[in-house]
Amino acid sequence: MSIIEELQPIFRSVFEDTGLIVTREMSANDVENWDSLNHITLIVEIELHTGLTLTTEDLMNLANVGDFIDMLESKGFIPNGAG
Amino acid sequence: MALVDVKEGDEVVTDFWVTEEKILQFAELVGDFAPIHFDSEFARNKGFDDTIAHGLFTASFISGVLGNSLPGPESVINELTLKYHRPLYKGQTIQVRVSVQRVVHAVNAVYLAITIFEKSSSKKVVSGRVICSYPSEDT
Repeated sequence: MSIIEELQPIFRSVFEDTGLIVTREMSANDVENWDSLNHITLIVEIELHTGLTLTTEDLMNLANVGDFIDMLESKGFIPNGAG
Repeated sequence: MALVDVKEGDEVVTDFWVTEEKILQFAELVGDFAPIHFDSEFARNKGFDDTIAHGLFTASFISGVLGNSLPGPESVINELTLKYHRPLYKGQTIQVRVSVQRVVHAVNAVYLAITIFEKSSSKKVVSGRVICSYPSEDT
């Protein structure tokens, strides 16, 4: 399972879109409910799921989901069933 | 209390006495006069010991703890999830327990666990989770 596949249920739950297909190219502008409050909820849920501790710097200069996934990978996150 | 003062494991426990008057005030506030809350015979026919407090009345006491104590007056609720375990009756005292499970500095947020117990029996009435954040001045 890829990181995107593993995190997709979290995106779907936070943004209340059961059919949402998360891609590396996706950004906040592409998701209707991706506002500032839901952004906070998304990051909290991803910290809870991954166990990683993210910093403000980690979230700076991320252009899209792909950059976010790469950041999680660089911090050592390994999706279920991998590694 | 600001985010910098909050750490994992922090906990606040506060007691509230549930009176018939408070239940009536809540009903007037929200316009919910369903018979299960005010008609004892109706409630007993539904299998309860007596009339029961509104579910959201019970949960409303969480607000006082979150806003006054933990995570405090500078925070707002982002998301709240609750599960009900048993009914609450007038005259009972509840104990609201809020504990910090994780501080997410990257987005100035806190993830907390909530439990409401009926104090005399220590039985769980409500449990849940809440994500609170600290809005910045430019939010």
